[in-house]
Amino acid sequence: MTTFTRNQETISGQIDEELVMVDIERGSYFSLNSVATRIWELLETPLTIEGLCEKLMEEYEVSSEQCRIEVEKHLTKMQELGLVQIWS
Amino acid sequence: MKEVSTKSVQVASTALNSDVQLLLRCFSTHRQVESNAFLHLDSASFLHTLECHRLTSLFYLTTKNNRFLTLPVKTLLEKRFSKKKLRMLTLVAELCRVSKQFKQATILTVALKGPLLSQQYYNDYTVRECNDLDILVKPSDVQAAYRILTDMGYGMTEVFWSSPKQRAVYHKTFHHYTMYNASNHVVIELHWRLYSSNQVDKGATENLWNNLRIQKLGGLEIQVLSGSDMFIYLCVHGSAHQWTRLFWVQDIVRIIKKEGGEFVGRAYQKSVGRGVARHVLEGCHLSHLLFDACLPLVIQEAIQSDKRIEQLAAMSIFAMNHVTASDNNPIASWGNLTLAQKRVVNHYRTSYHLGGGEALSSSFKRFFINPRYWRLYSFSDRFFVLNYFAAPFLWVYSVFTKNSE
Repeated sequence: MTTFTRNQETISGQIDEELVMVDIERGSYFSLNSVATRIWELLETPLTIEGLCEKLMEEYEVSSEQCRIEVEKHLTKMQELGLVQIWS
Repeated sequence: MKEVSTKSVQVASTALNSDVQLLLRCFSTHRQVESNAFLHLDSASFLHTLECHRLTSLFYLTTKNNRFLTLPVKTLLEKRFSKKKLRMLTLVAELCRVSKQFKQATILTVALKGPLLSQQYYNDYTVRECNDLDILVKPSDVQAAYRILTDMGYGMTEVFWSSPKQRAVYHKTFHHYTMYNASNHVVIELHWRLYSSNQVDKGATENLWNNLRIQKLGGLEIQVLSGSDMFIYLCVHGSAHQWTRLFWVQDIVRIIKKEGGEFVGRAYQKSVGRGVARHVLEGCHLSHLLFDACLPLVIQEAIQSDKRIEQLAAMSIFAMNHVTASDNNPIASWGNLTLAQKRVVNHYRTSYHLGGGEALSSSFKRFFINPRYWRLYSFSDRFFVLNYFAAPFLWVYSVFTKNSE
């Protein structure tokens, strides 16, 4: 099972309810919505998709199928942005 | 335990203007903020005071749940806090980007103050406001570091010299270049010394390279000063600026709180050996007077036995009380002129109280070696000494032309 973790080479800060990340090389900002912010917080320790879903379903009223779809979608995007990486 | 006299605390409180008094009451765990304190607040004046003291973000975080803070002020504070936080994130990212480049070029650097100080003592690298990044390199690496920064898009904000002699005098007298990047509006001060005058804390810059420690930021390991070196540096820096901005005092408060009395005592002993004990005592004294910091007995006794500490503190309180008027045109009114004169006198009195005749002389000399005057008019290197005689006239000219614009 694939385990994900944060990319430590990131700069971020909480502004209002959103997490703002900064691309160090480009100096550009992007903000994460509340679900992505929560995924980011949970990935302080490496987790699988199943582990993430288990924790998120405790906090959100969502079916396991829907949760998995959303988590996979968010992780894909976060990987593209360089925020998250596969933990080896 | 002996306490700093109640009279000192009272004098400090009454000497401060109402905005600063309210600001300090909000930070205090001992003093109460009355329910109507914010109702009669001049919001514009108060927010300007916070800006000048670089405490907007910290004040917002301290008071955002305070039910007495009126909604318009809270809303304005929140907007400013968000803006400053974004700005700080930019500075943090830039510190990482620049540090990476220096590391690749094997240039040893030390990040002074800034986001790493914020990370260590404010638990968040964006809370402590700063307008620029301070990076120290060894004197032998300055030109290489300068070239790297120019390749990264930085340029000098002002070039102060136009001849080899002027450049040599600049390097001998001052301690950093100020460089600006127009694409991200970041200012970097590239230091080759900790302080501008070689009379202060002699040997500090040479010795600190053996005592550095590492802090992690954005996956990078960045060197910073050792705990005691940083504490002493912040005290010397604050004293040199007469503690005009309260956030410098807040740094000392935070360090005292986190590191404890033994650490402060040891740093003080170190500062005695380096001839900057008074700088440390003044910083500690102000942190107690203004923010109720608990001082160890050795510091309290040293403060009590040195009468100059109270005199220094009084001048610093004057400076922080008038920080909002620092850009006032001194020739616009008699009041402004009187204030400007008092500032100048206090500047030299502070130098004297901190370092005696040698420090006063060094401080006075800098009036005559001001690169800003060279840009107005300067003699050739062959007659360089005439620049010193021309300095007072050029100062008068610069005061009138600057304030006539």
